[in-house]
Amino acid sequence: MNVRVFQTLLKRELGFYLTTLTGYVILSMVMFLIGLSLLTVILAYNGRAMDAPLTEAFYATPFFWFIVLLACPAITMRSFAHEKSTGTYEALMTTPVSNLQIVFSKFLASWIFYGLMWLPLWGFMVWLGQFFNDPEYLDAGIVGGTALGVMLLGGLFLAIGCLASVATKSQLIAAMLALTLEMVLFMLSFVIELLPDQSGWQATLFGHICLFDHMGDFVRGIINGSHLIFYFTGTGLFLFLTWRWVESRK
Amino acid sequence: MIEVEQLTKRYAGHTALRALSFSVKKGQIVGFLGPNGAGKSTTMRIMSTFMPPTSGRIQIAGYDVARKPMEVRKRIGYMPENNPLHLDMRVEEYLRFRAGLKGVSADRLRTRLGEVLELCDLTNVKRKIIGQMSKGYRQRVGVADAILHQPEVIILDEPTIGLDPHQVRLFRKLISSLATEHTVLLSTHILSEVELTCDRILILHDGKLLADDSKETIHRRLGSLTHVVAEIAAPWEGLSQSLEAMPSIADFKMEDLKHGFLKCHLTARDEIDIRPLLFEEIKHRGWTLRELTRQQPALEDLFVHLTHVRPNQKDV
Repeated sequence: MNVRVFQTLLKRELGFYLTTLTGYVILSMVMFLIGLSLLTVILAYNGRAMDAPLTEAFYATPFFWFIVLLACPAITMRSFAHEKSTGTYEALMTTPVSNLQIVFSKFLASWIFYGLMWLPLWGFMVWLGQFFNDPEYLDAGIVGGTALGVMLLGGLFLAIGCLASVATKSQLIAAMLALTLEMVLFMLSFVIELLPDQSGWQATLFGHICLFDHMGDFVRGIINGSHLIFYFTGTGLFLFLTWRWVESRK
Repeated sequence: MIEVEQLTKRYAGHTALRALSFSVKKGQIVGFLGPNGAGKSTTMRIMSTFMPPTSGRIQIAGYDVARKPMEVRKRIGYMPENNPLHLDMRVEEYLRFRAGLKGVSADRLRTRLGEVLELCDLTNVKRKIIGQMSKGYRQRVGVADAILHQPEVIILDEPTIGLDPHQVRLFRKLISSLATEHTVLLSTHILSEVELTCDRILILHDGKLLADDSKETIHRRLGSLTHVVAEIAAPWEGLSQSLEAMPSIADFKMEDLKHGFLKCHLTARDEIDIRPLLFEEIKHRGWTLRELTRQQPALEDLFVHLTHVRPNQKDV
């Protein structure tokens, strides 16, 4: 892989997020929702003792899934669809750059932007940390675990978004498609609760793909190997499918 | 430089190219001419490695486009149809980005960028945002991008579409200046454009090659379509008889103008210039001549002649 070419691509992709209005609209919306969720947490625990880590309290607000489910399609919708609709895709695809580099640079840029988008949360955590005496409720491990979970979940959703974006010329359709696929995954996370038999293979399967279980562990600072495998393989699978889609141009 | 052999491209439901074959030598400017839907863009897209052919093959600078796409991409500068650019970027920024993708080294780019900006007359606008520039400037940015890495072959798909006549003239100059170093292939459906810019003209219709000729041959072919208009004060019968008697006139039509003049539309046999002969005949008969002009047929006439498509239908 040619590093300089990859840097050029990555810089361009990130540049687009950071120099156009789209990027800032997403950033401000997410910042607003993060603020709202922390306000909810502060009001809920006002005058009461904490009974769970701060990150878990934040995760328990309805805003967490709202942010992830909505921001990811908004970030990735343009990555391929925009280039296809304006025709710059053809100009890109006829330069001596491999398809793998193109897919990976678009994914990585969206992931970095996604990471930036969450920065206010960590800022709030640090600020609130000053008021905590008990490390059980907020320490580096808990925040680190949460950050890892947020990034892994985002990686998976962004990979889904890349696939949705490569499949169409319309950014709107790409966003809707990504949201639908993410919602399917989100809904499948509820299945485990509905199963009458909690010991069968179905329970094991749905337990593995239950996003709530994963995040529930991450926000408590628990990093489980099987969760990591789930996110790595899932993200890899969707990126592979995206790459195959790019390759199959006829 | 470019070898196209038996190139065929089928889409679901229709065939865009049917066994197309031709070759282009180094340093030529070749014009690809044909109505919309003739297969010009398809051929160029296959050449640029954007799409694979259904069958047949193309070699550019000795590399097969299907087997060695990366090698081909390093050697071509391609401007796709409608000249897609990143409208949010500035001219210089865009060219730097494209140079990065094309593997132009930072050292090389330092001198090359200035050269290209100068050549395409973009130096004064290099800090402008592409989206805020006029079509003519954008087109030049597209060409600047195509020549940035000094490719051996430059492929331009409809480069002058949407330009005003002044911009087209500037553009033609730019293309001609490129021919010294590069082989240029450009497509258009404007006939006068290829006539002025290209050394060689390929006429494409319905996925097939109708003609492949040098500009001179095309002009000779056009010669056979030349006709002469004359306005002569003469009796209808007498003029008609003497025109019929002239062996170098293949065909003629006459119409009666007022004040005793007759307007004749004459088609010459072969490539003979019939004007002196006609003048001598009129002088000899003692008639009066008030107009004698040769009407150069446009390439359009030849095109219509070859494709049997009426000019007003060529865009359909």
